[in-house]
Amino acid sequence: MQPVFSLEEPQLIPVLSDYLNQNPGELLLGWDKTSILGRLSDADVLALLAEYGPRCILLWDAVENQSGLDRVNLLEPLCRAGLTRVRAADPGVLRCLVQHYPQLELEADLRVGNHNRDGLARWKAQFPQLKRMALGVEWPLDEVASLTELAIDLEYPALGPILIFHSPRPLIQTHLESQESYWEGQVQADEKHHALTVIENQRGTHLLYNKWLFLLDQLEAMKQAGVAFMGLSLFGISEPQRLLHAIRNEHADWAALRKSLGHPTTRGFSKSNRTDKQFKHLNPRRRKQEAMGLVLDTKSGIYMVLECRDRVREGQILHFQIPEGDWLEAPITRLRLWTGEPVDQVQGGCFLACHVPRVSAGSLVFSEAPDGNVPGPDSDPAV
Amino acid sequence: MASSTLIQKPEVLAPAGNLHKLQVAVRYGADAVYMAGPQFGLRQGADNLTHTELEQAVRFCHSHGAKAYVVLNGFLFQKELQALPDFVQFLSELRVDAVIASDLGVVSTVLEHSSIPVHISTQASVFNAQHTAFWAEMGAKRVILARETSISDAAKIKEISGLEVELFVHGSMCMAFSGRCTISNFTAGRDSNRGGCEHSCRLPYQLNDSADAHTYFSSKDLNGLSLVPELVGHGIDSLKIEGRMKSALYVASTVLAYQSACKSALANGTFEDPHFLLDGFSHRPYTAKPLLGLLDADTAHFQEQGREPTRFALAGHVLEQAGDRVLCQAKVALHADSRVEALGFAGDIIPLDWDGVTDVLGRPVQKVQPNQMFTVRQSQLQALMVLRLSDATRV
Repeated sequence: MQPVFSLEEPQLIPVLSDYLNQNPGELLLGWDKTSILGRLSDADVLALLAEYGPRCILLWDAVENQSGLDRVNLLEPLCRAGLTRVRAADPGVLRCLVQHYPQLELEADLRVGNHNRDGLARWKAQFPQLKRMALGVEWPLDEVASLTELAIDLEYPALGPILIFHSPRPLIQTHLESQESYWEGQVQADEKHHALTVIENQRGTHLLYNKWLFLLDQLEAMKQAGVAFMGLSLFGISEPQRLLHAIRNEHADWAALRKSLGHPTTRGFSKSNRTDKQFKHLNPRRRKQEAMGLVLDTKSGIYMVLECRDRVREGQILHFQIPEGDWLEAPITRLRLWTGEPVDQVQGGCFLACHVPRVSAGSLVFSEAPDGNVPGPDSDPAV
Repeated sequence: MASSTLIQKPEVLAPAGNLHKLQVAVRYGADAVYMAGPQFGLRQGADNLTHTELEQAVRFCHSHGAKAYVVLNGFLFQKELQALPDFVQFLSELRVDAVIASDLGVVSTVLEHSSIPVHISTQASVFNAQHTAFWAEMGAKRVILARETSISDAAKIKEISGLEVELFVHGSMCMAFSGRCTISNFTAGRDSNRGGCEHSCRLPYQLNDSADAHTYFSSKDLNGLSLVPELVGHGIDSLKIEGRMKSALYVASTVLAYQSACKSALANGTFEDPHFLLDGFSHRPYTAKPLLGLLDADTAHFQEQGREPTRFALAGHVLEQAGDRVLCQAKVALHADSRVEALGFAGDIIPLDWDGVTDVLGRPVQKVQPNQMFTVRQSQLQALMVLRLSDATRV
């Protein structure tokens, strides 16, 4: 697999130069004009283009407002200096690039919010110029394998920080009476939460997850999934030379290397993504899927007020799921309109009936027992 | 600004967290509402609507001249997409007026399986005209622009792309670009872009070694009411109110305020300030800066600033009406000295006459408990009116 080094900081240029002069690999240039975290100056980018030419990809991962699209003109000198490829996240930026620089090869930065094959197929259809898709860590690798039918080069992140919050607003330095063009610190919500790296720069304020992504011990799985390029960032790595040496040799002691990174590490969601697993706890009331009504109010042993969608008759057996989850069944007796008038049946709406023991406000009302057609206490709510 | 002869009233689009709130929004004058079904939305904590309720909701909207939009704005995995065509078919049969989506796979599926118009969610972070053109080529009818978009940029985007544009004008705001924030995914294992946002941005954070913690990443609430003349003048098609998790009092008050402001702006170009409606419920300090393109630290809400004092709390709802008698449900404890009033559908205030209050057995009562049903003899009250309680008389 070909390494693609994300280069955000100029001090890493000499470190990577040594590696790139002897090994295959590409450079993703974090230019401060177009990249969220990039700090490379115009001079840095021009020098790297001069040295590495077509091995360079310019990163334009920022989302742009209307005037931000004018930055497309800033690429002219870079193109004259040998820029051949750009990777962008904003479809508006990609369209601008197609119009202004039809000769450029394009790549899509799909790190966030793109994790189904149909969506990626549409990206490809909309931008036939795309040569590569850079995926995010939300993709489990076994699902990445299904993307081979798209017939496009895939890149998967293998090492580096994970950007989890990106705001265009400068939120920190104003409180410190500081005005640095780049400011980095740590924030921590409380003792239960880990400290996160916070960065404020020309693109706003950004948070990095406390764990760095580390999948260098999963390269075989990435290959099996059809990934041709691995994304690597040396940002914040304490011993980059040691890491580069290990990458060069491919069969390093990954466990020891992981411990030496200077950060705790994570595999992201490369194994599986179950970030919807807790949803059923967020809203147990979603079980009312097939409920015909709700108990609004009760007076123990005297009355209950129900609101139902369908017709209810005196003596009809109804089933109640009380807020504690238990199921009860009981006939409706002493049916009355809410105005107090006794009736044989109501056509839905609010009405009164004799209270059923244990039924309380918030109980769900069903016309049928909790069989296969009606969600029972242990059924999995629709997600 | 556009010529006055071309100016049209923008749609006031209200949140509908459940069927009741939807009906409240429509009765208080919303031109359109947005709601979620049991799947594919972004508010797993909201009640949301069952299939049967969706059917009732669309029927209710259309019978009152309002439009019904259904959100499908989660970012889905391939296996989740498989269930989507059936749901889209169902929505198509209901004749919903649009779906709101952000995922390319979802948009493709909707367009392939139906002719339902597609509005692109703010989750897609559409921030420029070229991005809008991308969605136009896909077949979208409208874009709900990124919450960071200014009114003037929105007007340019509309002019260049030809698509309808919708802007958030009121409610809670993300501080990060919507759809690009994954704090919850990593720190809580809950996918914020599929409905599990944990609102970690609202927490106070200690900076470096400071002992003090501040809510650096928590946004003030958006309030674009004073900018309605600009929104109208720039031809913004839809003014969106955030808040499917918020109360019926919030829904009723915001819809009344924005409709009133739109009509006022259109009628004579002047602006009658219905701000009193927007201070009638709990909220963070307001800001209008994002709509002016001012994205600075002042848009953050420091917790020590507190929430704005509220003048009212939700007291209850009018559920049904029979002659001059109405059935109500209290949401908080009320007593004979409580100053309870109904918010009329035209914004008029109707004080509750406690002398006519009885329990459902017809017995006069001096107090009612939270969730208790009670009846009142008062002919001005109508079903779906919201009852509010002056905070000064709260039990």
